[in-house]
Amino acid sequence: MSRSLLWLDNLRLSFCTSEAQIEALRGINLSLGAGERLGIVGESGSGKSQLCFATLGLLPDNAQVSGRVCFDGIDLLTADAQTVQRLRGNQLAMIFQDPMSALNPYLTVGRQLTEVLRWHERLSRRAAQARAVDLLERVRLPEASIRMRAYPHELSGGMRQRVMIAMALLCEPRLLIADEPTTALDVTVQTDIMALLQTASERRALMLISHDLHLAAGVCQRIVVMYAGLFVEIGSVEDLFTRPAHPYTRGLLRAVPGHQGPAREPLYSIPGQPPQPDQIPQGCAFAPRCEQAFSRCHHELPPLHEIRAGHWRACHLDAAL
Amino acid sequence: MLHFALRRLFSAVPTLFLIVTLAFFLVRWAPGGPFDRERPIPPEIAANLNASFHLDEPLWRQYLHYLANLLHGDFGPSFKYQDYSVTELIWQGFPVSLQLGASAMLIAVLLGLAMGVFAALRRNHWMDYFVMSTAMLGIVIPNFVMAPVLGLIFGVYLHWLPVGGWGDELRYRILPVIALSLPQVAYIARLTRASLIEVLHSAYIRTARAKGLPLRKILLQHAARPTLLPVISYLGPATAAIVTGSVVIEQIFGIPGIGRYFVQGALNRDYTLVMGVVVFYAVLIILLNLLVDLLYAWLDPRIRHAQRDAALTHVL
Repeated sequence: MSRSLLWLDNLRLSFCTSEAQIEALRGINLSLGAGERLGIVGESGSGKSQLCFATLGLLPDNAQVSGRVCFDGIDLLTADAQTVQRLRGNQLAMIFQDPMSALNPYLTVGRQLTEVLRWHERLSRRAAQARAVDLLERVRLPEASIRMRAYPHELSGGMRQRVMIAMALLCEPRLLIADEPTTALDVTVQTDIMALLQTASERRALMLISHDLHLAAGVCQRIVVMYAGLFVEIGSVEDLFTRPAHPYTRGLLRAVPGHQGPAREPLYSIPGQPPQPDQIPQGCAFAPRCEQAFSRCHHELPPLHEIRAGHWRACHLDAAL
Repeated sequence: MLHFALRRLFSAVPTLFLIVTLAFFLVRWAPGGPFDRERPIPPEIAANLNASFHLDEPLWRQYLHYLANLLHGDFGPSFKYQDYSVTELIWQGFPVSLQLGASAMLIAVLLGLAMGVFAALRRNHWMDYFVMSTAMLGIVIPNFVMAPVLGLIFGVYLHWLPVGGWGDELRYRILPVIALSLPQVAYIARLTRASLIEVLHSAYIRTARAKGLPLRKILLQHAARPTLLPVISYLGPATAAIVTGSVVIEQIFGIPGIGRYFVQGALNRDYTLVMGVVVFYAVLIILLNLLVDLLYAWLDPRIRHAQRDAALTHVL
């Protein structure tokens, strides 16, 4: 296998609060090849957004990280601030969840776009301006050159997300991380943005965070299912949809309206709630909600193991597929 | 913007009217009068004096009389300093008060901002706690305590600086300016710290970090404006605090500014002088508040546009 672009090795992340030690990521191993499109799916609180922030080093002061985050052979956790700054926004770029709050309300769109080019590529004001307009046109923002002078609040939600995407693409990054890019948008706009994201991720690696398995499947080649700070299943889109191996993945697939089961039957939902991040059970974190759990599940953490080439799961159940 | 400024100016008229009315009747309500002495003056002279200042007329007529004069920009003659009009007295004291107040304000803003940013960037470090608890001292110690204590230490014990008086030399100005600005330095420092900490936690700062910008650029280009906004809006109340503080400080250090005239005027029941100073300061504070609002709107594009839209609907 060729050397991976992004390699996470036993990544652990916890937050120190006055009340408790909260574990957000409990040992993540991941390898993402150049040009690969990976979806990370899970409920809110499963740690998927924290995984993005940990990868980019955008964590608050009370965060404790261990393990390795290697981008193109450089460990971002131990590299000096300058090296990381040179990579961020340049080789690795991120699209945030809510473009309203993620864009600076006090600066024009143009200013927020051009500063990236002026800083990373040392472009002149005029050259940066031209490149930014060019990118806004590429993300199909109408009247791009006029929008450069607009403030974020003067744009619609969809336009703002287009600006965010353009901002991430400015330096042609090799890895694009998109954290729920359509959550804050109208359903009608979602489809457009996902199509745009698909085009944008050509020739580069994509890490798409979503709570919607089907949305991720539309864009990605491989999908990771996350639960309580751990990966519980990894597989190709086909593996996950035709042969879901983890009870949680199966639950997620059943809980989508109109996809499985006869009509008029009440929509399935996984019983119970995800564990509180400061009270993660010993053993399999999903066991308390799992209909097939047995005693071993409550005591022993199932390791992630390969059940078929490229298809991994963390579950004690017999591989009776 | 001009439309907004004019509308704000216009809306200040009722406020000013209310201030004038309240001040007029409050001053008259206080016992005693301008010509009361320990040894009473002969009744004929008192009657003459009262007549020449219209004090023998009913209060409501005096009030209307005062309003009419005020509309012509006439504050009337001083009761005590009879060779001077109130306007002359105010213009005599104003340059001194302005120098004192403007220096105090400048120091409050510069030092307050610097301390606040310093503390915010070292949040929960001992230096942060040190700066912030010092600032708390500045807030809780009233200036009528701070001023004599400063005079005692640096004037009486150390002989470094004069304990009072006013002159062109810097040494006369250090203590009064410090005593006047200290609570404002402290307040602005705490405000800046809280504001910057909040801004640094916002999503758009995380975006700026994700773009790979260095801390210097993040602070100056992304955090400066939103951090300044609450400080800017505090400048209105800060002006009022400096004006009232100046009344006390001028008295303590014997500085010949408007504040001193105000205190003298109040003690002498010099009605027109007190009224004049009140009106003058009210206008000053209203104008400065307007300036602050304009500055705020200029810094925050969302407000700027809301105003433009409001102005447009007015025109249409």
